[in-house]
Amino acid sequence: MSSSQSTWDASVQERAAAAGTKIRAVEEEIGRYIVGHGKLVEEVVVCLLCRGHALLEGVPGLGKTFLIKTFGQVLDLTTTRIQFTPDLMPADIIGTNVLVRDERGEQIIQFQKGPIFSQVLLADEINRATPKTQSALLEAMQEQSVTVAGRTYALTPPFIVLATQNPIEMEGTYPLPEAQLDRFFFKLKVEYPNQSDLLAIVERTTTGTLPVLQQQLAAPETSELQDLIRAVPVSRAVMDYAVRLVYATHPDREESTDEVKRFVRYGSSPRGAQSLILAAKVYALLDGRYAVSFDDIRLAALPSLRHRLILSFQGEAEGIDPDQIVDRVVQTTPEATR
Amino acid sequence: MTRDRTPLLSGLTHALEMRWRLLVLAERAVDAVAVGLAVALGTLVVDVVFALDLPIMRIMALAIGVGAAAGLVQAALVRRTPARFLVDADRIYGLKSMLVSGFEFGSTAPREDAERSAFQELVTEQAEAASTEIEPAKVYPWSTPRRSGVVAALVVALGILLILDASAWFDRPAPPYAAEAVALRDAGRRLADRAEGNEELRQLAEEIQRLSEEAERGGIDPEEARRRIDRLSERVEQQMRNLGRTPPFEYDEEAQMPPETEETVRNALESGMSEGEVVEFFARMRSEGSTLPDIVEALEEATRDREPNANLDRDDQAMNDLMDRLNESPPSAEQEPDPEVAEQLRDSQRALQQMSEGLPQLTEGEDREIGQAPGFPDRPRDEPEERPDSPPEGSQGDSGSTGQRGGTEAVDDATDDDFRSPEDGASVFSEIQGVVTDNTIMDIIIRELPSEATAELTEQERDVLFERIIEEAVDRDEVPPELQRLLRNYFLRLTLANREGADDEQ
Repeated sequence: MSSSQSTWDASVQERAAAAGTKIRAVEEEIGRYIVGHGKLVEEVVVCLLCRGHALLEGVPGLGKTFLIKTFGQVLDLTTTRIQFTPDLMPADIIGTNVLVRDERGEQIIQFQKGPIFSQVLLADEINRATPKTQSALLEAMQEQSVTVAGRTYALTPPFIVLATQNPIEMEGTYPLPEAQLDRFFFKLKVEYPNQSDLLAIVERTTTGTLPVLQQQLAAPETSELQDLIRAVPVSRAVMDYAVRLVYATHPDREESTDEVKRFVRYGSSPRGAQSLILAAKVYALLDGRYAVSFDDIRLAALPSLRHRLILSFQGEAEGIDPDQIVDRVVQTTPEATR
Repeated sequence: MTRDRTPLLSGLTHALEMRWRLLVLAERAVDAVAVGLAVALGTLVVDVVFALDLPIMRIMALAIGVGAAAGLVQAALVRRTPARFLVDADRIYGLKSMLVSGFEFGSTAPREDAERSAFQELVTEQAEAASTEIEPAKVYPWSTPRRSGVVAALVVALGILLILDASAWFDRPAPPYAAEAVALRDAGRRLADRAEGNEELRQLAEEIQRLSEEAERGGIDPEEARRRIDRLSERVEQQMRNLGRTPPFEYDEEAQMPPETEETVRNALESGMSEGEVVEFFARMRSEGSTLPDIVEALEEATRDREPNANLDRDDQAMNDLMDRLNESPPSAEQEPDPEVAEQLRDSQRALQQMSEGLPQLTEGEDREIGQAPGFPDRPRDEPEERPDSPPEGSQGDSGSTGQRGGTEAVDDATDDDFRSPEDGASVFSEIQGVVTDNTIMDIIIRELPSEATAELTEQERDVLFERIIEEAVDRDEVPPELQRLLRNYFLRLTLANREGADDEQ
């Protein structure tokens, strides 16, 4: 290996190490506000670094909205919040053309940007809006742009949608369309804090002296990190494992488990495999490694696949949790086949 | 551009693969032994239940061999990618897929993406460094194959069964295998010569020939040979029935000895007739076409006027043996539509029967030859064979002093050297080769001592001596049961021939 190559490698090493440090710093800063959700914070950061969107599911009052607002502050990204309600219209999200007078007093049609034009969009209780309104986010989430009256407007990168939803069995909610669910990189479950964490939450939020948050990552740095993450290599064996995991969620596949065959109507889409690989890259970098391992894939399996499984009638009727199915798939899929 | 930047990883992969194949082979070997033992056990059970006398050890060896070969082939052919071995090593050493990633990145061309290539280089270097710490034995530790317990159980079960049946495996006399094979071949050849126009006979002859050739080469399992011989024998017998004659070794009801025969013979012996004379009497009468009742009546007539001059002190066994000899009834000519063919059939069946009786006892290294046939490799004559069943020194008379071939069909291959007289000086008459009976293809070599002592005997004394020696040998079980009758007939023929020669000279 030439000396220039070594220097170059060292530079990449330093960049990788710096990236890990910065990511950890973001998590720690958010952790100063958010108690007991370390893993949840990490997964939200992973979504951001993978240019993905996250759907946070949990009962009200667990700090979902607070987490996202904190997230925007630490990353120095423009943050907007939309409270989804049944009467919310797509134009309320995207924006609309309005008739205004210009400087010369002439009436012109001008596009009034909606709250979607931000970098961190908090879609609070997204499942309380009708599917039509929920679908207004589809283009923005996939293309990072919106089209109104035949004109397309690009969103400012990095753009991330962090949606929250209450469990669908609660009153007054609309299940998200499968197409929209698939566009969420991760679906994260917000668990109820344990007793010690709850004590800390109560203490922090009732004294009136919340710490001042420090910005840890600027928008350009975030974009650089996103690029670096994508450069992390994945061996064929590991990639093959991720693909086999996704295939194993399909009930019509020979290698799928009995649970999948009985309770799953449709398995994960290819976006599930993409999600697995990208998230695993972040986990590898966070662990100080330069290549993805099987463990990284397994770590990303649950948040990547749980919302991409469409249960069968039997699965719905028996109240099957997709997490059980994904866990079983991970357990039964071998790392290498030949 | 593709170059191997992972020599250590490549070596590690190779070592892991070797270790893994070794373990696979061990497991397959256990499977093979298990299959072999199971087959042997099953065979043994079937053998015991149905009394088939199957070659257990051969079947077991064959099953284990086939199983082992299949295991070897499977172990050699089973394919695994190098990545699979490195995945295992990564897992055991907790390297988080470093080895498998490094090996792949080092074996493929660098990507155009500079950062990605830089990461790949880093991973490859790390993997190369880590590979030196990997021990294949730790990745694939030796473990007792899963079915070892099954094998142990089968071994115990088979061992018990074999031990219980062990006595039946050893205490058996040696067979006249090789010589009988040659005899069988000759029988088949002669049958073939006379089988023109008879398809069944021709096929029988061919099968006998093939069987004899295989037997001569030793290329056939004795058990299998015996089964085939049995089948051939049945077909020969059937063919003989088709030709309208009584199968050999079955006595014609009309030719049965009258009940008073034994008493008549006993009276004849007490009146001074020797056993040989009685036998000769029967043979001569038979040759004249007399039936057994006629012969008994004639014997009674001949000895009626003679006074008993000896107290016959013969035990029942000796008397029975004599009666058996007298009871041998030559075939009736009227019943044979084709005497030559029938004769050859009988020869074939006799040879088949002799082989059948001798084959199962054949064991390697114990081929104690008691018969010799023309064309069969002979032992050097100056190296007398040492056999536990050889007659004791001096117990044999001068069987060769007559210098004649017994029977009417001398063996074509026999030469005069085979019948040297004592007068030849050094060429002491050590062997006699000839045809035992008219229809027997068995040739017998009797190795014996120099004959100076027997030269002083009269022919009659010699004949008596012959009889006594043979009887003693038979009594001592030195002559295999299947050959006792042949041996007696042989010397009887010699005696008769001498008498006829002497009568002619007078």
